[in-house]
Amino acid sequence: MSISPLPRNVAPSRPRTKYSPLDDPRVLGWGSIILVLIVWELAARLFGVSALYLPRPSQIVVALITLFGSGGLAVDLGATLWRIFAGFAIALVGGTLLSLWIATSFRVRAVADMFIAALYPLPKITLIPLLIIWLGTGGPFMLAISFLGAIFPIVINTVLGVSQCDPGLVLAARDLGATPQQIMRRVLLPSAIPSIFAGVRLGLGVSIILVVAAEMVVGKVGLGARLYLAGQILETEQVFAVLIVLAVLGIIVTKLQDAADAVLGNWRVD
Amino acid sequence: MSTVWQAFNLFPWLTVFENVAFGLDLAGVPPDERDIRTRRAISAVDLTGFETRYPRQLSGGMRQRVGLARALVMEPEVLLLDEPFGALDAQTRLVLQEQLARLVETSGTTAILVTHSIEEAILLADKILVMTARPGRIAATIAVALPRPRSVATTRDPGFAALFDQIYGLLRDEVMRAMMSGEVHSQ
Repeated sequence: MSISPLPRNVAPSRPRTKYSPLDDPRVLGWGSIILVLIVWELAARLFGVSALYLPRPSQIVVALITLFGSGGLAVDLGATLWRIFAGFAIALVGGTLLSLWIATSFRVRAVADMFIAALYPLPKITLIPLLIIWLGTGGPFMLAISFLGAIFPIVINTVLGVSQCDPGLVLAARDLGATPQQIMRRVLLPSAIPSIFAGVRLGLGVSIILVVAAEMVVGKVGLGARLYLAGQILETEQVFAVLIVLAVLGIIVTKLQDAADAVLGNWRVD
Repeated sequence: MSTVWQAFNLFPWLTVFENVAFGLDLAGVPPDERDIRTRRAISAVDLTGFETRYPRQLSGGMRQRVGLARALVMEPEVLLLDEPFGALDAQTRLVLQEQLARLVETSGTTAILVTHSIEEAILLADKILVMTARPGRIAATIAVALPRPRSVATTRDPGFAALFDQIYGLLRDEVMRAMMSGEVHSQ
C-alpha cells in the first residue's frame, strides 16, 4: 500500500460534480459569522450570562439601533471618519510627493533614510502627550495623529515602488523627449501606483487605530470617546455596538481597497 | 532620433494608442494633430483595432510593432533599432523584418539597426558595419547591393551567400581571437 505524501486536505480536489455553496468564499465568510452569532446568542441564553459581561447579539443590535436613532452615534461616526480621512489625505498627497523627491535624489534619500529609521519604529501612540502639549486636543491634534499614522507606510512603500521602476521605461521616456519632471509624473508615479496602494492599505489601518485611540484619551465626540465612556459607565451593549461599527468600518475600507486594486490590476505587469 | 528597444519598453499602464501618442503628448502637439498622427502610425504597423488594448494583452510581435509605431510617430531623422527582434520567435521575426523594411522605405528616415543575425543585417541594410567584440570598433564596412524589396527568397541569391560568408568569416576571426585572449565573449 502506498502512502500519500500529502495530508488529506491539500490533496488534489475531487472532480467537481455539482455546485456546492461551501465552495463560495462569500458564503463561507458570511455564513461563519452568522453561525458564531447564533451560537453566542443561544449559549448566553442557555447559561444565563449577565449582560454586564457578555450581552447577547440581540441586545447589542437593540443598543446599536438606539444609539444611531437618538444617541448621536452617527455624529460620532462622522467625526471619527472626518479625522481619519482628512489626516490620511494630507499624508497621501504629501507623502507621495515627498517619496518622489526621496527616490530621485541621492542626498535627500540619505537624509530621509535616517529619519525614517528613527521615527518609523516609534509607536506613534507615544506621541500623543507631546502632540497635546503642542496642539491641544482639538482638530489640529486629530489631523496630526492621523497624518503621522499614514505617512510612514505610504512613504516607505512609494519610495520602494519608484525605485523599482523598470529603468527601460525611463530610458524610453527620455528617448521620446521627456523632461525630468515629465519622467517623474508620467513614468515613475504611475509605475509606483501598486506600491502606493500597498502603502495606503497599511497607512489607513494605522490611521484608524491612532484616531480611535486618541479619541479614547482626549475625545469628547468620536467613536473612541463613545467607547471609552460606555465602558466607564458599564454599558457593555454600547461597548459592543461601537466595536461592531468599527469592525464594519474595517470591512468597508478593506473591500473598497480590494475593488480599487482590481481596477488597477488592469494594466499591472504579469 | 527615436529608439526601438529589444525589451520593447512599452508603458504597461497605457493603452496602445496612449503609448504611441506618448512622445507627441510630451512635446505638446495639439490633440487633433496628435490623434491623427497616432492613428496613422498605428495603421502603418497594422495595429488598427487594437488601440485600446494594453501591452500585456498583445503578443510579442504586436508589442514590438507598437514600439515601432511609437518611434516612427515622432518622425525622427534617425531611427535606432537596438536588436528590435531579439526577443521574438523566428517566424514573427521574418514577418516584422519585411514590415520594417517597407516602413523605413516609405518614411524616408535613416535607420540604424543593431543585430546579431547576419541574415537580418543583409536583408535589411544598405550598409553593414561589422563590430569587434571589445573594444567595440568597426572592423569592416560592407555595402549591400542586393535589389529591393528583399524577402526570404533573397536568401537563395548567390550574392546573399557571398555576403554571408564574408561577414561570417570576419565575425569568426573576431570570436576566435577573443576566446584565445581568454576574454569572456559577451553578447
